[in-house]
Amino acid sequence: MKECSRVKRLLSRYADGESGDAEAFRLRRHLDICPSCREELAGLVKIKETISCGEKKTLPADYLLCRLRDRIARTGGRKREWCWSGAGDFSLRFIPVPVTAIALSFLLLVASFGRSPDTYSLEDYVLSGSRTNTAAVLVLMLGQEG
Amino acid sequence: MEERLEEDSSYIIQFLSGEEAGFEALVRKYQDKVLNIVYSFIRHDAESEDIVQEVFLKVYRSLESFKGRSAFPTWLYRITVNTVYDFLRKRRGFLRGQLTEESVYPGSGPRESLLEKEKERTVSRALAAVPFKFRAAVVLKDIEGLSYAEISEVLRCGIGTVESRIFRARQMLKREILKISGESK
Repeated sequence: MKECSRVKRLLSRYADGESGDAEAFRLRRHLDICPSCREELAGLVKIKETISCGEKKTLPADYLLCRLRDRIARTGGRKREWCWSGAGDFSLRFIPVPVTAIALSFLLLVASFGRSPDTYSLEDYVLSGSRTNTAAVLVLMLGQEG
Repeated sequence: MEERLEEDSSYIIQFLSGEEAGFEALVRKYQDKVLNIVYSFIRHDAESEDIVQEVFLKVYRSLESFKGRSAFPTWLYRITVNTVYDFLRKRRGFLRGQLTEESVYPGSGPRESLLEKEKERTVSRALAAVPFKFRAAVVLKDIEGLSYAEISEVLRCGIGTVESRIFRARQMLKREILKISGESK
């Protein structure tokens, strides 16, 4: 029974001829002895046939080309349409995300350059290695000019 | 297969060197394949033709950016699936609306048996009930006969994902067909 549930998951691939030789051999051996899996396979093949044997459509010769020529003439020749490897509108929807991220990064960069280093903290002063005394520290803490 | 791809490459080179005949040859070669893929999603003649036109317009305008990293048909089918996806996204409920109308199969002549019509109708309704990503995989397999590897390139997902989508699509189709058959009895 456990074998059947495993086999049933592989039958779709088998019906498509995509199973490897060893797997196909194992499946055939199981199918020989299991009517339930044989029935499952027959059902899959039937569905596959039903879909693939549907009405095949054809366009009259040059019908589409005439429409295309007309459309191209109206909308301009080889005007290049931006297309990310044929992804069409699907990928265009994701463009605002990187664009916004780049713009924000740029603004932050500009803002950080624009900040004048007019504040000189007590930590900076002490870490700068300058000589410190109580008066100098007090002046910095109170924010007064030295 | 190799010959087919070489032929495509020569048409593309011809087009890129300024000769429209290269593009026209590609259209003639692939128009019915694209139409059948589109029709299997849309199930409406006029709308399908409009979408096929849209697909080839995109090809015309972006063929210069085609790098040849994948085969031309793979690239073309990717554009086709994306164009259909966008159409269905913009017009939600289009397919269900279509299938409730009596004019679903305007091309059906008197010769076509009632049974065939009913079968077509059942398949259309069943396919309409399957979510797009599963339907795309099964359509490319069963209508166009692509391999799992080719489908994975078109849909940009792994072969395991393609296999699982096809498996699940068929399970859903089976369930839907049984449901529809039950309704009609």
